[in-house]
Amino acid sequence: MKFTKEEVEHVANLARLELTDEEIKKYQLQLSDILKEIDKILKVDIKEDDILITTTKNSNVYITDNYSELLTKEEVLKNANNKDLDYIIVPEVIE
Amino acid sequence: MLTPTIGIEVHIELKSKAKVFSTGRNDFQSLPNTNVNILDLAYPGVLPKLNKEIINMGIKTCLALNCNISKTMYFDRKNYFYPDLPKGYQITQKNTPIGTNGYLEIEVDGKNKKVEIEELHIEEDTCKSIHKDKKTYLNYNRAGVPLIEIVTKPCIHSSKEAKLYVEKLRETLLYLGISDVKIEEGSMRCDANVSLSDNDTLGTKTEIKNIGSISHVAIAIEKEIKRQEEILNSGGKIVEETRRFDDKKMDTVRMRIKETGNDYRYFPEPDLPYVTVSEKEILEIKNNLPILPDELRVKFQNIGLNENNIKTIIANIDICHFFLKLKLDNNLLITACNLLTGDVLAYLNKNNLTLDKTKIEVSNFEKLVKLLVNKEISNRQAKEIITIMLDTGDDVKKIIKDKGFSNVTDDKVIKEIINKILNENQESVNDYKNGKDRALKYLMGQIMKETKGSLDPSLVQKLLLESLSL
Repeated sequence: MKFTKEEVEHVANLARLELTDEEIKKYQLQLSDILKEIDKILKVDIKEDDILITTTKNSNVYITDNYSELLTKEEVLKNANNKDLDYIIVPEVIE
Repeated sequence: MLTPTIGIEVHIELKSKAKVFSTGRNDFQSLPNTNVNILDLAYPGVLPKLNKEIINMGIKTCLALNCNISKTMYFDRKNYFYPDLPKGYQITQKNTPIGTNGYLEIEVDGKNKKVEIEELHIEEDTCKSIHKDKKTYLNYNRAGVPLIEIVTKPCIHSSKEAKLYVEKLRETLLYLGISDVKIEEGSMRCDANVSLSDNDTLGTKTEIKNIGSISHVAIAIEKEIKRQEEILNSGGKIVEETRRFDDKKMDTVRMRIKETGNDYRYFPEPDLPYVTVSEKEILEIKNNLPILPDELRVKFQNIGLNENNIKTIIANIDICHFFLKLKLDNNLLITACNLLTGDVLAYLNKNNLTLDKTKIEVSNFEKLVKLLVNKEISNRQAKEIITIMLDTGDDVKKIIKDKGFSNVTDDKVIKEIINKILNENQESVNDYKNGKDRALKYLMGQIMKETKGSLDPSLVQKLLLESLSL
């Protein structure tokens, strides 16, 4: 099964990536290879109710309901390219 | 005949101290970007951990909404790329929601209806985006705040039922104590799915988001039903889309859609291990559930409160909690409720206060109720005393003394006052004896004037008539 050009463009759009035609061709092949590998995994018969979700066998690992380790506002804003005194600013995104 | 079918999704912000998967602070009123830690900003290498209190709150909600509770759960990632979500995914529960198959009972035109709840799940909130001057300002205080989403089955068939459901849900969650449930402040958010059909198959639905108040729930649904009716009746087709309620136009408008269905690429969250809940834990939470509105209604009916007062007192949770603390007999409780839903509520509304922000105390208020029921003070005096109690918290006895309310109930003392007035007004006494009823009113007036209106008028009249018939 080969990835179509449209499928690659769709996946790229979900990640907000702009791809050149050459890149699209490259990813068509690479993504198809990945899917082939995943097909192998999907063929393995496993019980649905016992899926492995983490590599640890621990369960019920909790924190208690107290706040701590807060960053200062200056630290929060420090790595942003665009900011004012209170907010990180990005180009307008409207739903 | 087109019948509307409606499903409602409600998001509730939980009022925990910390966030759901981090130790960031959960506080709606803090200054922008001050409740944030490295998890909320998704710094490289950070790992989420679950706040235990959120599971407890989830179980409480399941119990209040009659849901089955999942004994084993995990979380899922909902992937989308958006600045309000620094991780690039939201942690939610898609496959193992904490609650399923519940219901909430509402009363529609005198008949009970069970609104069926499909599922209830825990997830994290996104950061708050403010759009201004072609820019978006991001406040990450809300990022990671715990949410519970409650989804009904498509079982609601009118805007009226939808509004009753949302009101009842809000009231239940408020008494449960897990959220402020203020729709105007965003701690409760409502989306409605609406479709129309003339047969048993559901029609194409639209989703309405951004409904900013409970009264708007009914209006938004009503408008959407009308819009769809017009399209279908003129032979058109409904397009599946997301719309939002515009409170300036008071109508639904089309909204651009982010992503749908498969595009979210859900998969189990590998950074959080399984969560298991035991019967014992559930039972312990169940035994400590606060008293909820349905139970309160029955309790108040048994006391003998009238329906209007029951409605008013339940709608004002601060007054209701105060009332529940009173240790008085039922007949005294009825008087207490009248005072609370009357004079006290009027005072609170006038001063824009809640009862817990005033200085009134339970035992002091109990004393006042007893004095009033025993007719040691008049209604008018009680009203005055209540206002002072709310303002200053002063003891009722002190207020009575300060105000010079004579507080006389001893028949002997009252009779002395009556005799004094009768002696001073012999002419009126004679008039009365000659059949002039007006003279009685005059004498009553003189007695009330003498005692500055502090006596119970019915008692005075009784004693006055006794004296006059001698």
